[in-house]
Amino acid sequence: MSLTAALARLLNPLVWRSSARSALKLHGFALAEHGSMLDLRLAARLTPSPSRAAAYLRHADDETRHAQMFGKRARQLAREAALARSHAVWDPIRADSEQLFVGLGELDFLAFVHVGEARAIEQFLVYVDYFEARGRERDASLLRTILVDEHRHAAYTRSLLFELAASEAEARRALRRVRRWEAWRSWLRAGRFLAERVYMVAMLLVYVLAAPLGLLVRWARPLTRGWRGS
Amino acid sequence: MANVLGISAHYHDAAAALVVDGEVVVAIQQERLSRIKNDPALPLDAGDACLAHAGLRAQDLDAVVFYERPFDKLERVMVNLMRNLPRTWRQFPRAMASQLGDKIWVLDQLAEAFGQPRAKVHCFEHHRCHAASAHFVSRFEDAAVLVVDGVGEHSSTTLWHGQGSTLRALCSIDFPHSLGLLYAALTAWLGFAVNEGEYKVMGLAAWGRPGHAGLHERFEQLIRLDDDGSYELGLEYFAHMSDAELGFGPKLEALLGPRRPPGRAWKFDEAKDQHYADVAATLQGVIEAALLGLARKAKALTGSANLCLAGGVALNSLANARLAREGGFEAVFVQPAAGDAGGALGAAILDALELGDPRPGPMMSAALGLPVDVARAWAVARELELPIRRVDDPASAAAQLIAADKIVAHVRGRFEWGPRALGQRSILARAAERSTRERINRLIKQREPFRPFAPAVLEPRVAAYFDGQANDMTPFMTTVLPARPDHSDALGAVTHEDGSSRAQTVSVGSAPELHALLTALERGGHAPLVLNTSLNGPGEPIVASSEDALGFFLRHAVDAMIIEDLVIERPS
Repeated sequence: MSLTAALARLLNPLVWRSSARSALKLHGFALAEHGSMLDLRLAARLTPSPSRAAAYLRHADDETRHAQMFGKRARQLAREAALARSHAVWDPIRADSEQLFVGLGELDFLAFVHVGEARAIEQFLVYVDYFEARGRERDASLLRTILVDEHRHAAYTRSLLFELAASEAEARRALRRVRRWEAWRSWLRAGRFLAERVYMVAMLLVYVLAAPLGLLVRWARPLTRGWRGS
Repeated sequence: MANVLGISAHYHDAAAALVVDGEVVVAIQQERLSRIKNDPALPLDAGDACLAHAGLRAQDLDAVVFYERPFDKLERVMVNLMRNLPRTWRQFPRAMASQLGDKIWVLDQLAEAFGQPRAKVHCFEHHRCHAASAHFVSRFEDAAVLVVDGVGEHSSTTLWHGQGSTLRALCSIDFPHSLGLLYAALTAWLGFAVNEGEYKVMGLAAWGRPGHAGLHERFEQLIRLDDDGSYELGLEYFAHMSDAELGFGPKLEALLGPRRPPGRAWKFDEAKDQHYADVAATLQGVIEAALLGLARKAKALTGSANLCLAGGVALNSLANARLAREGGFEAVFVQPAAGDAGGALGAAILDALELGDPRPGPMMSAALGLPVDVARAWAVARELELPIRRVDDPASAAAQLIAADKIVAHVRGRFEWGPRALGQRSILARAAERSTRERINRLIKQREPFRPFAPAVLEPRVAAYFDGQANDMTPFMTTVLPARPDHSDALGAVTHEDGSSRAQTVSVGSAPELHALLTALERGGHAPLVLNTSLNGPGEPIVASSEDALGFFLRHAVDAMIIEDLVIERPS
């Protein structure tokens, strides 16, 4: 069993323990699919090959559909869990693009997408088993439907990767390169997460220390109303 | 003679605009390229695309100009955070991170991104850029200019006098009093996304009863309109001083009722939803009254016969129509990207004028974006195994499809500047049947049922279908016209609940491809008007490139797509 599958199996009870948690997880999947769609649309625009552009467009279309399916199910679960309407699950599905095609180049982009799809397949298979064992047929069925596309995506990206690379060795090097890059990115993200917390604490301290300034500002810069300069 | 690139960014709807020798050559919103709706990111792609379209390199630029003064903005943010202690404790870390970590360095970032010496990167005041974006591309030699938005550096409303190539500041109303932020707060209260759902509020207003059940009196607590044209918000009802996201406080919910849950389906036969519509209608009336007061002040100060409007509030086409009717001006102009994107255009023009270039000619067309790559569209469509063919007369082909009641995605010419699809990246259909509107809504747009679709009509025929004439705003859909009841059979899909239509008048100069299509329709014995809505799915930016167009065709059930002289028809 791969590390991905083992981790997914280990975390299953935590991740899917309630409707609210499940809603959050599926909303996260919806955002990931939407972000992937943006990257694929960009790739379709930038690749010099019309046939690869067509492949990326078909893939992007699937990702849009997946985002909608995950988003819809997430909202159903959020309703069941009576999640507050201010929660992100209710927001339109919007993700940022990492512009991976620009950052990585087409060969590594393909390797990245292939690695991501393969990982998603492993995870989804574990989730399907978990849902089936607990009689959550609706969730199992959702993932089974999406898995059909994920298998196709993993297959075509692998085939394009080996077609585009100068040699099989070059394609494998690209796969290793993006795995290293992904690990480095995870490390940076963890660092950023930690730094954000430290920053928040530091800024709250600054805020408390700046409290006397508040009084000064109210005196020196009172609110204006009506026309200025009339 | 100079090449000047204007940039707006970092709030919402970033954009780049290029002015060459005093003429606006190209202007692009970043969202069209990044495919992220209202993308606020520094528009480097849009800037590069502007340069590439004009055949320039970065070193050919004489200046890069930002639409805001970063340190003035920082000052306002800091003062507001300190003034509202301790309610700003949540906002403080985020605002500081965004200002100190990013926004105040924007001029350096632009210098680096476009390879310019720092001395060539300038900035102008936010509202001055807005005012410039309206006055300098209008046809008026002399105009009062009114800028109304959420907030710039300090001001939320400013009046200007534009004379020839000069723009003189007259007076302003400062943050936190703001019509834009009032509208934003009510947009959030109605359950719509701020900076995105404002059009929905305007559409919803037609379904409501202004002032119903004491709403006028309750709104008097939210905003007081003074006789001198100024206004003042009841700040205790709002939270924009301490909460950048929601904008309203618990007192507003106590006054108007609980906020509407986002995403819930609308049912006007339910009292609750009718109340929300009544609030939207009252808000629309208040905004119009406030703008009329501001217009009166502008008229008194300038004596001008013409009015230009800019800022996000100027995208309220209903209010613009009322200003044109009752504002006391002979003519009113609102350029198509009146919101923050337009600041890029104003910034570029202001710097070009300072460098000695002439004032640009009047904006005749909003087609200031990029064209599609037809050869690429052909090649990719073939790879997608779409039934694509080339035609000699794409306007007639499109007209025949529309006459046969098909829904047609129309991708011709350079894409539009601003939030409106004006025929270059549009979904077009017959305007007659209400069922067409429902079909478009169900299959593609999935909009709320109260939102109207707009018509595009041949300019000389406008009076045949609408009570009114073409004016400075109608080519850009920044105003509305009343639909003529005696032609309701031709306008079933494009007449709003209140009888208005956000009609676009089409001339050869403003949208030549759409003009040819409408002419072909008329030649075929049909009414020379179509339903025209933006070529995008829900939550997506409007299509820009050929790949975007083909991606749209794969995802959405339009009957046909025209990409320049290529036609793709979905088998029935």
